[in-house]
Amino acid sequence: MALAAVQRVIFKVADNVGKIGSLALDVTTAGGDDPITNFAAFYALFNAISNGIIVGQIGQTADNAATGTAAAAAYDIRDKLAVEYVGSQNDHHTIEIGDPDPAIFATNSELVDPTNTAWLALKTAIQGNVKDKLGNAVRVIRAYRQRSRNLKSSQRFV
Amino acid sequence: MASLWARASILLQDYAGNIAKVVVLVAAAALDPSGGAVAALRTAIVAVTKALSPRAETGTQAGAAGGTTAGTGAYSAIEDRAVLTFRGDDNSTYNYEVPAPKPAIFITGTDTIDPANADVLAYTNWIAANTKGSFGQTLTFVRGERTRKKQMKH
Repeated sequence: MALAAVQRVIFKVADNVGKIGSLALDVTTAGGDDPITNFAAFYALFNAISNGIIVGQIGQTADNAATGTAAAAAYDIRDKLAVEYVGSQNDHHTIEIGDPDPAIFATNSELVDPTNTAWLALKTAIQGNVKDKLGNAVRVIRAYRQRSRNLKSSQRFV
Repeated sequence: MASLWARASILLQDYAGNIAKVVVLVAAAALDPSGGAVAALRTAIVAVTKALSPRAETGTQAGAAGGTTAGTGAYSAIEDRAVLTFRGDDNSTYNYEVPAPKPAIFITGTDTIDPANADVLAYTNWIAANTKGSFGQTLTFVRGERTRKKQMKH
């Protein structure tokens, strides 16, 4: 497991009139990848020193080990592979994957090559691992090239 | 009711250093960003892009497992805070706030946390044993005091 050095848990705390505050702690990764479960002993300790009650918790875990290699391309991260899929309630979603390899698109087309091996592997990975909000599997509809402007580095100011 | 899903965020970085995120929902149990569903998606995404993926994150949420009735009395509003100061082993400083602190944890007649209070000891010892600084530093409790902040979210 290549988890980051710490995981974070954010607790939402309410007082006796319902106002909400929060506190966050960085927990060690010794107990595994679920920081909320790892913090199970925290509630009683918190209740002993606070009049507030914990009403919600958010856990965050990260893996900072890089995967892949950035390669020079005619386009950049603003060039997108837009993948559309539907959930179990016919809810429609689109994810955008930056800097797609031009090889996955059909010749002279903005649509993916339906026989491309890497695309088929991505489609299988999405349908096997992505869920809708009911926890059900999703179904990929189509994918195509798109362009956005959402740069998040210093280049956006150039 | 436990969450039916977890949120996975896969960061991508192109040759020029520009970054973008791909955010999807995965199964609630798929919390390990270095394995399982998130790693499978990350591998498949990296295979169709010229970018590398420097980081993957997962996030989840749950209801509470603690007390169910908030205490009353003076200084029990969410804006009332006890600030607990911890020192990292590299002499960095971390302040953790406790909303609506109970009066019993303060030294009588002062706004200073009583470090010998049994509940304070249990709390600070647990934090020292189970939490880390932002870069993995070991933490040691230093002191605590009462404060108040303007934060109201009904």
